[in-house]
This record gives sequence, C-alpha cells and structure tokens, in this order.
Amino acid sequence: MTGITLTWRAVYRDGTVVEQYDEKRDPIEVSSEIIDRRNVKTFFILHGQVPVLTLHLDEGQNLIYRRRISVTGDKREICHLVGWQRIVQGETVQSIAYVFEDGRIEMAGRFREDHPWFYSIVLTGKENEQGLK
Amino acid sequence: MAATVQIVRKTGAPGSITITDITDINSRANAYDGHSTGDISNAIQIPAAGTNYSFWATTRLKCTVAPAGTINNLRWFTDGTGSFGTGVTCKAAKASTGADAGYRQATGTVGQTGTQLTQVNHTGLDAAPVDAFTFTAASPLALTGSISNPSTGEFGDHVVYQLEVGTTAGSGATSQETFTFRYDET
Repeated sequence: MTGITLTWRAVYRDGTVVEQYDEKRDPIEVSSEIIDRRNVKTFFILHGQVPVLTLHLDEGQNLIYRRRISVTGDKREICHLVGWQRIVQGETVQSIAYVFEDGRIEMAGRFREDHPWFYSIVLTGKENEQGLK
Repeated sequence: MAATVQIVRKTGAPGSITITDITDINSRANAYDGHSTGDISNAIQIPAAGTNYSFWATTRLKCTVAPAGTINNLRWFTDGTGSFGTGVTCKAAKASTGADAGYRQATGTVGQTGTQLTQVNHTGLDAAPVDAFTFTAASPLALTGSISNPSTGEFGDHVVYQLEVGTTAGSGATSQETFTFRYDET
C-alpha cells in the first residue's frame, strides 16, 4: 500500500455504527469528536471497505483516535493514531497503533513525548465534555 | 472531507499584509521583505566583518477548507542539521504577542542586510530566537492555537526565522532546507 487514503468506522456496544463518511447523512463527513469513546466496541481503520486495522475494545477501555498530518514542502505524511486508554489503580494505561498512509503500522504502549510521531494528543473541548482524560 | 491546510508566508506592512501560499514551493530569505522562489536580486551581502541577516521570514498555517472537527497540537521543526553552508546559520522563534497576532514586518537595508531578529526588534516574538536546527521532530517548537469547524483562516502561532551570514560564507544561493509543520485533526 502506498499513498492510500484511510477512513474510520466505529461500532458501539449496542450495534450502532458511525461512519466517518456517509453519503446519506448531512453532513456527509463527521468528526471523530462525536464518537462516544467509552462505548466503542470495535473501531476500524478502512481502505475503502477493507479493514486495515481493527481494534477490539473491552469495557473500560476508552478509544483514542487522531489523524496526525505532517506538511513539508510538497510532501504530506499522514498517520492515524488508534488505540485505547483506561485507568488502572489510578494509573493511565495506553496502547496505541500508528497506521501510516504509506502502509506502515507500528505499535507502541503509552504515548512517548520524545518520539517524532508517538506523542500525546490534546483533547478538544467536545472530548473534555465527555469527561475523557 | 479532511481539512485543507496551507503554509503561508506573510510580508508587507500591517494593514496591507501579503499572504502567499508556500505549501508546495520554496521561499527565499533574501535581503528584502518579499517572497520569491528564485529571485537573485537583493541578496544578503557577505560582510567584511560581523554578521548580516536576511529579512526575517514569517510563516503560519492557514485553513482554507474547514476540518470536520478540530485541528490542534501544532508543531514546527527542521531535520536537525543546518546545511545552508559555511558561515550561514538560521534562528527561529514563534510569534503571537501583541497586534496582528504577533506579525511584524521585516525591516533592514534592502540588498544588504535585514534587521537582526531579536525580541527588541520584533516585539511580536514570544521568546528569543534560537538555532532553528535545535527544533527536531522529537523536540519540536510547540505552537499554541487551533481551529474548529466551521472556521477557516490563519491559525496557530507564527513561526519566524532568519538567516545569519558571517564573513566566511560563500557567494550564491545556499542549499535548500525544509521546515515541517505537523498537527492533529479530529
């Protein structure tokens, strides 16, 4: 896979499906901010309709997702951060996969602030309203 | 669709700032306040003593198609190695202070040298400029700011950089360096 475009799909525990793009919906594209991250059972990163990565979440595991973009001259690199976070005995535990649109997939545990790509996300206002940490 | 984000260079006087999309092109740091991809006029003069400077270059992100959600967590960095050549260095800092979100027009003597980039000469800087090549992917210049649907336009701190030319510099165009902006999108 080189230079592919990836999208996401979230499936909740009650079976409800939220697609990033849905031509029957207005707006057609929705932000990942609307995802109820505590109730996601399965999260897909898709190339067309083909799952490139499937994340299965247990109760208590909150979805982490971001699209991370680098712009250098005429070159763009895009990486989808897909993982989960939960609190265990007061400690935050994370596991993240980094799905690059050049075909690479890398796994890491917690966010790493001194890594070029594996650093933490910044929660948006809407995500803070969900009480996510 | 995903947001469309440009890298822009800003020149000109407050009130009539010229905003140039430099996303897919190079932009020269000459001894005048303007963008060009290959202009060889108004080169920075190699000094007989001391240091001459380019007119400082001001860059920023601009969103022309709004994200579905939010763009935040902005960063700027270099490849970590200055390759402009002997006697040529580069300093950078972010600017967001005061009027025009920290933008200040570059000044100097056209065709000779820009005014040195300092917090005294550029009152929009948030901190003193440092070697641009200390900012790497693993240790970037973190920028504040974000943009959310349905907004478009410029966002985030300005990144201002300036070339410094010493007496040992060689004549002619330097090698090209690339600078990177990185951000998260929901």
